[in-house]
Amino acid sequence: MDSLGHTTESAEGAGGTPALREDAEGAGGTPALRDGAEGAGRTPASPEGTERPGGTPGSRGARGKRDAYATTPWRRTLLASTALIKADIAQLARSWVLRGWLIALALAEFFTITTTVVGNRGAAIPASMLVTTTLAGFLLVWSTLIIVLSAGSVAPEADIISDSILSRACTRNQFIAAKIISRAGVILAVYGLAAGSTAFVAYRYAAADVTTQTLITSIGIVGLAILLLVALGVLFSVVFNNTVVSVVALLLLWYVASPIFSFMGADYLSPASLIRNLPAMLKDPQAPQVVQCSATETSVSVAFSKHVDPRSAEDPSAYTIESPPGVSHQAETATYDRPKTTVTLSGLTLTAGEKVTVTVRGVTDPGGTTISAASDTATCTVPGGTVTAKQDKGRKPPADRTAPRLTGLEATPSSLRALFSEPLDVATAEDPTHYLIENPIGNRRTARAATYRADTRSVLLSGLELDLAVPVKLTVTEIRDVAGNPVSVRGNSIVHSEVTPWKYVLGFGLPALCACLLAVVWFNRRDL
Amino acid sequence: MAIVATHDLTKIYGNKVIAVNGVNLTIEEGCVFGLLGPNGAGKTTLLKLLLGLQRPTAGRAEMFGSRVSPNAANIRQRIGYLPTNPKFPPYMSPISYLDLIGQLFGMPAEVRKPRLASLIRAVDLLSAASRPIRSFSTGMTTRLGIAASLLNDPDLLIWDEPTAGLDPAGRKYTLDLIQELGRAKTVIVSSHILSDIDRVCSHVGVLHNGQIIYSGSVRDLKQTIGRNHIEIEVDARDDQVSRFATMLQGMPDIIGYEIRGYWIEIRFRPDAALERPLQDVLRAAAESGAAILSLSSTKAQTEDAFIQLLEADQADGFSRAYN
Repeated sequence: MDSLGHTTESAEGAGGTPALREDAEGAGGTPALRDGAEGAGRTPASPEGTERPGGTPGSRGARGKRDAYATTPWRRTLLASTALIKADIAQLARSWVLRGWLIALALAEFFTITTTVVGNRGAAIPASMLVTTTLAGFLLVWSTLIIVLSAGSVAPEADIISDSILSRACTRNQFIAAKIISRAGVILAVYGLAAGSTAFVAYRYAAADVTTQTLITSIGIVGLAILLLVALGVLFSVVFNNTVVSVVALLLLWYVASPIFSFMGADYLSPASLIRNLPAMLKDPQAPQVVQCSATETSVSVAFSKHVDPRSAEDPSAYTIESPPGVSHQAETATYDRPKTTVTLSGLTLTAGEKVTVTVRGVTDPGGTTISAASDTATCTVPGGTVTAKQDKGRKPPADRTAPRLTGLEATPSSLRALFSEPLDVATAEDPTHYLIENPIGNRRTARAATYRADTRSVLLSGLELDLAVPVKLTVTEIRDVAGNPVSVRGNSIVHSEVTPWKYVLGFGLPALCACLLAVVWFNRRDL
Repeated sequence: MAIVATHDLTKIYGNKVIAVNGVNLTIEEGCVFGLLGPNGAGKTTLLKLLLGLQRPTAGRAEMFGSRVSPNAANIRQRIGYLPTNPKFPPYMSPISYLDLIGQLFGMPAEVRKPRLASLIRAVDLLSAASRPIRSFSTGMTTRLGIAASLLNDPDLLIWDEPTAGLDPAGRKYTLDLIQELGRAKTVIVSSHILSDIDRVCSHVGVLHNGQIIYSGSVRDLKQTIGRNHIEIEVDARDDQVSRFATMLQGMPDIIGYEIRGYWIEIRFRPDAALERPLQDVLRAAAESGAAILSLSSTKAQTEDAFIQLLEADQADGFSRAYN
């Protein structure tokens, strides 16, 4: 027996109700009630039981409590919910599963990042590959621990929560919402920290084949998938009321999910598909383009629209130089200037005043996307000094100097509709050879016909066989507006994808929301 | 004013076990109500239904005039609950646990902190205030449960078998506390121990096989059996006891007696005035050489009343369903 017996003994010595009586004699009342009541500025409970407030003892106490406790229902709810969330986070912090995960994750991240930074001195790892490694780790490996943490949220403590939490002034809605928020919050915080640090290192040290937008989008989509996993975990924990069964059921669902998603026509939502698509989602969708060139009698500089892979860009054989047309020259060296995204081709002998045409083949961006076939050539002239010549320089500038741009692309399995920013020259617009169609990216498709509609400023490309499960890329060349301006280099290509980020948001977000609501409903129906 | 009212409250688990069967119960404000019944009678289930921890299969429960539901936090705001062998988060300390539930009750820190400190002191857990609950003994856990049930200064206390697992000293402490609290609050105490209920409760409800077979004051319960009923403990040899029994047989006001070792239970005619027969009994004991050690009526009355109720309930059998 514990000190209870001792307490009684001393209380009996004091000649009254144990412990309470002991205090009562000092304070002149029922101490447990009285002390708190005084602290709260309330009328203490009747010390000797003789002073019951008009036969309704509860009413006075209730009034006192209303004065002393949180004043509004909203504040009370907020206080209670915050307390539940903090308590669950404190419980999670003591979990060896979480601690083990953090240690393993930190080691894995350290290894990945160190490899990247060290590897950067030799051959740079593409940023997309680095980020994919981390994100896939969460979908494939760490998801097991996420499942354990979320599916073990309610089931193992059913007795405890009944006795200690839900028998107090706490609603079940509050409790289950707090569970979901705390579990999701902790897991997403760990994920955010890992993904954020990897993204930073990738952006800073790896070969930059990603953009800020693709990074945020990809990290957000995987975050939503993790949120769905957490919501399902809490739901399973509530429904099965058994941690082992919940964990096994969710592991099966998560790792063998492809047939289910395929059955629902949403194969892209399966973890395996998501991991496969991550590199494409992360990569900058724009292929590198030749923007302009400049020449001297001994060298030619070629400017690219974005960073290119130095290994492919510094290969002189990747450049075909003609000056004058029909006479080829071969550069001895090619030097890539990363900050200016320019390659200087040296060791040439060119004649002043001659036109120079540079054609680039096989140069890729750091992610391996080959230079756009639609913009792989630039022309300039070599007078005594450096003369910059844009593509098609020499054409008399028209009064309308605004270049048309591609503004949209709609796709069906057999056709594409390209939307432009201004009216086009019909002759150039209706030539199917002016449209480079890739589906998936890198795989050329050819349209049989191109039909221009002036009222919608659009071109219908028909006679195609497209797979809309993968992206479709359209690049236009040689097309001019009615004033004769060629299509802007920065606006001559566009990618259409049926699986947009919004589909992922809906595909993961909506089921996650449904799982949360179902968990609340089910928990409300459960006996404790 | 009725603090608790149930209407045909029924709980059937998975179409297999009938735990509570059409209970209609009213508990008035200010009483100490004992929920009495053998193990498995449905006491804990009934209390959990009252708290909204379980959902009734049929019927309804009302507390403070409002219908109970799993989300009726406003009702539980006014209740202090002590479960049987309470289970608390094992990693928490009494301070952190009481702080948590204080926040659940919406108590701001300036109210909560002094209150929990005084309660921890009052239940003598000061030395263990920062220890994890997992290291607590049964008695310490029960005392923490008592502190938790008092934290919100409730209007109604529901204590489910509060003396379960306690040693005699702990049991006395708890019963004394119920008596103390019963002066200021409405208290519902469940127990299968008759003497506990008899000692602290003003009213009692007897639950048997999920049904309330009696609900009323303890005094009325005792009056349901014959009042002229005593038990005598004697210090005597067997032959002295036999002589004493023979003398009892000859007394006209005695309708029966039973000898159980050194205990002799004597039943008088209900309409008899006891003064004269009692004098005869005492004289017979003296003449037979049996020394009387004790003479009591209360314990036996409550016990008998309880057993009589259970027997009557079982004997009623089929007809009960139509009452």
